[in-house]
Amino acid sequence: MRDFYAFAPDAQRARRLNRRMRSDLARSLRYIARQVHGVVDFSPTRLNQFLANTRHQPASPHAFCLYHDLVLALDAENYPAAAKLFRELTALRPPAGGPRLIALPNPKKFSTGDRYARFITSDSTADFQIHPPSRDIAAGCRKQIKDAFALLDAADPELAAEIRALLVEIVLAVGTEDPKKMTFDGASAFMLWGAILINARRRDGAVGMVQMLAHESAHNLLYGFCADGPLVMNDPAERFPSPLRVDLRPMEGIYHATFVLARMHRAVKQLITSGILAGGELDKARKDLAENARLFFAGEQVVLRHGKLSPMGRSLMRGASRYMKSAA
Amino acid sequence: MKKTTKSTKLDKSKLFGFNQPSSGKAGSKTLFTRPMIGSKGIGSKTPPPVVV
Repeated sequence: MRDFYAFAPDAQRARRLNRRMRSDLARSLRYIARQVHGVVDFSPTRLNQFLANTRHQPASPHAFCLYHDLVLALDAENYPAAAKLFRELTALRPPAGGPRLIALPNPKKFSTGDRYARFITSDSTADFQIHPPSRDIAAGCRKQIKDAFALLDAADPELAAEIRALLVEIVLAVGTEDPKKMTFDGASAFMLWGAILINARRRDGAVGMVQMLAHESAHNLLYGFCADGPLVMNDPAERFPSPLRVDLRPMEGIYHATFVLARMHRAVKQLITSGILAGGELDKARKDLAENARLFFAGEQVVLRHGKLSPMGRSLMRGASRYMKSAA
Repeated sequence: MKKTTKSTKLDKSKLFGFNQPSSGKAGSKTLFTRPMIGSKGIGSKTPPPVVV
C-alpha cells in the first residue's frame, strides 16, 4: 500500500483529498442549514442540489470563500447577509475541468474578485495589494503557464497530473509596482481551496513558472492534508526566520515554505534529468536547483530546531527531507 | 422569514477550516480574528476562462 504522506506527487491522492475537502464542506453546510433553519431564509431544494453536485463534481474555489463568509455573517448574526450568501452559494454551478486560467475579476466591481482578494490578503501582518492584470500582462502570463505545463507534461507527468487534480483555477493578478512596498509572487489560502494566485508580471519564463506551479500547488496539497488537523503545534504567536521571506513567520509558514521548496527542487530536478532543457533555460534550472536546496536546508534547520510537529506533519516533512538528502 | 428565538450560535467543531492558517506568501491569520471587510456587490460576470 502506498504511503498516504509520501513526498512524491500522486494525482490519485490529490483527487481523494479533493473529495474529502468537498465532503467536509458539504457536511458543515448541512449542519449550518439545520442550525439556522427558520431563522435564515434559504432554499433547502437548491441547497440539496448544490450538495449533490459538490459530492460528485469539482467545486469552485468561490464556494469555499462563500462558505467562510457565510459563517462570518452568522457569527455576526447578520441574517440578511447570510441569506444572500446562501443564495449565491447554492446558485454556483460545478466548474468545468481545470485548471482554468482566469484574470482576477475587478474586486471593486465583482464579488468573486473581492472575496479572492480579501481571503488572500487576510494576513494583517503582510500588507500587499492585489489588482486585476491588464489584458497584455495576462496574455503573457497565460503563455508562460501553458509553456510550463508543456514542460511538466514532458518531464514530470506525475506532478502535472497532481496539479490538475488539485487546482480548479489559476488566478492571474498583479501587485503594486512601488519598489518600496511589499508585493507577491504567488499566493494561496485554505479558504480558497482549489485556487492559486499568480503575479502575472512574472518574467522568469517557463522554468520559473514550473516552480511557481509546484510551489503553490504544494501549499494546496498541505491544506488538503491538514483539513483534519494541524501540521505543527507551535503557538501561532511565535516567530522564526523564514527561508523564503524577509519577515519573521509563524512555524506553520516556515513548515509550508520548507516543504514547498523541496517540491520546487524536485520539479526542477525532473526538468534537468529529462534532458528537455537547453541553453539559458538549463542554466537557470541548475542555478535554481542549487538555490532551492540551500533554502530548503535553511528552513529544515528551523523546523527541526523549533518545530513542534504533529505526527502527520512529521511524516510529511520526513518525506521531503529524505528526498532532499538523496537528490541534493 | 419566520420570527424565532432559535439560537444560531455555531459549534466551531462542526465548521470547516476555521482557524486554519492561510499560508504561502500570503501569510498566516485565523479567520475568527481576521478583521471583517464587507463584500462589495454581487457580480456574476467573470472573464472567460482558459483551460490548461
